[in-house]
Amino acid sequence: MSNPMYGRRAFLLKGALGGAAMTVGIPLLDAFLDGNGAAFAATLGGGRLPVRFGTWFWGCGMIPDRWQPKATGSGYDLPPQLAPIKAVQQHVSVLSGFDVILDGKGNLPHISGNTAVRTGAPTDNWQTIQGPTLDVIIADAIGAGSVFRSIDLSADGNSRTSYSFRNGNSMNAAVPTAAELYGKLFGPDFHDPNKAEFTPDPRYIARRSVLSAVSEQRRALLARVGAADRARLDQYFTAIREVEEKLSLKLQKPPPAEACVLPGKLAPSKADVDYTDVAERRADHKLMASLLAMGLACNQTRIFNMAYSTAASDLRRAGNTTGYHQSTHEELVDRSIGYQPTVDHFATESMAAWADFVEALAAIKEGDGTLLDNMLVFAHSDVSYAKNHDVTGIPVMLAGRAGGKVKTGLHINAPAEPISRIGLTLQQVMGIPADAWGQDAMRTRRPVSEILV
Amino acid sequence: MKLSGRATAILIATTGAVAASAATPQIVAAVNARKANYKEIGGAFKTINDEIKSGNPDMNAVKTAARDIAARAPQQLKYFPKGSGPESGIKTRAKAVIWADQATFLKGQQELVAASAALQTAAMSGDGAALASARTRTAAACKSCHDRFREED
Repeated sequence: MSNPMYGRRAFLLKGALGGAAMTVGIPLLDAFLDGNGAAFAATLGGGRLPVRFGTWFWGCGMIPDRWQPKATGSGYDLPPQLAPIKAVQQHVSVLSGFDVILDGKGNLPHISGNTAVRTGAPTDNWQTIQGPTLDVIIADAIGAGSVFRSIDLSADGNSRTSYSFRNGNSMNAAVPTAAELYGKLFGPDFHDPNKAEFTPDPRYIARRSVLSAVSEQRRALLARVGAADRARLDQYFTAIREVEEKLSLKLQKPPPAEACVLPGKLAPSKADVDYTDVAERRADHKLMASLLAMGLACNQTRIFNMAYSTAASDLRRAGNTTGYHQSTHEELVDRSIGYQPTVDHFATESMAAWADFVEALAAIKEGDGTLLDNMLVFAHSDVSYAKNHDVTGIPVMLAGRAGGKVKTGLHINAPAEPISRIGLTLQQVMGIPADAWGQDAMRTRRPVSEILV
Repeated sequence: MKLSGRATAILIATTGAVAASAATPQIVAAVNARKANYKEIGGAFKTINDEIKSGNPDMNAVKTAARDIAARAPQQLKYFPKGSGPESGIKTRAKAVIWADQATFLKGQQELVAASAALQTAAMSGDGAALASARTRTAAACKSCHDRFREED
């Protein structure tokens, strides 16, 4: 439904309160829905169910011979480290062989690869990245119609484990536990989109009015300051705009979401959980995946980043002081089997967690398919071969059909191709009019057309 | 004019500083890039050597290291622009003869590119004898250039 009469603003009644502008939502009308009553998203600017985007990160890569499928195309084989994804293989495409091209730069382990994958250019630290991470680019384009522009998650219990940056000085802090995620998504501010009644909270009307009142001064200030200050203010006002958008949404009745069911309250979490223990990590991550899936179904956000483990993975086994990353450096290759067995274990565990994540998204029915069908999830690591910390052939997987725009269940092998081709493809699939992406040797104009429908 | 020892030292120091500051950002970037690139190539080559010496190489390590060398070798030539030799004032082991005898230098670089491509092919094949032979060829390509075009440590 593209009639502008039924655009997002049709939900708003504008007026004044104490001299300040105010906006109040009106009930959802049948006129805003299509014939099936399923295209509620038309009121948010599109005629279809919303398409969401997210990233899933794991640290320390893999062992190529034990991760990379030998066959390409559909029905690819599953080497031992990929075996855990068997149940969700039809949803997952594997993209192997894509390189971070360092072009005269050193490989700063865990950072060069990660910054290059996410920003299209390798740097020696996150503070000097040359552009926002691609999730931020996509969030700026499609994130405004939901309660949270983006939700950043870390399964390691640390809010600073985040690889989402607007610029080198502005990291998006992560929600670090399932308990906190529940509070954020389904706490007291949550409005069930499927409830008939809706009462705008007067607190939001007042807050919104205050922000609106300062918009003129904001414009005047921007006109007076120099370029550097303008950049700082712009960043600040971006955050303000997000608050404004959020408050506007709080004043509207949320559009219905057929798959949205308020999850039951979580059982109190155990005290002193050690999230470096791979078993604890996987359990909490699985819970976070289920909550996130329902948050997406309830239109709380359309963009997310999940860091399953840190770059230089922090995972370890209960009772062991030597963890995954340390093992990549110190464990001897068992020459009888040809690989580091402890490293192999953690890489396989990471893939099991990825399978949990995909399964949680695929479990929610939405429209004619599942939530996952209306999403695109980009999974990657910081390095390729764990032992060497290489950045050639960084492992990538995609899950979801992006509302029918992307094929799934394929293995595409593209040795020596810049990995920025994947980032460009993701942006284009998510509707961003980018015809090129990346810097220097990573600059590309060629999407990965094999995955496009 | 005769200068005292102290004045000479000051003059040398000053000239050096001027020379260092005279290098354009592009020259500085090129020198830094070639150093970083060679360092990575050296590290990757050491990985391959160590694995071959083990008698039962970890081919995951060999393959990725060979890929890295093969990707980096063709980049090297662009990091030797004119003016990036000792006259730049930047700390570099590149001899002036690189630019005086470009034909030989170019030939040496091309041999590195060819040898590293052969090294990658051998690594991907998993053929131990071919790998050992390609390793020797690559090492020879490195050495011949180092002997003629690089200052000793």
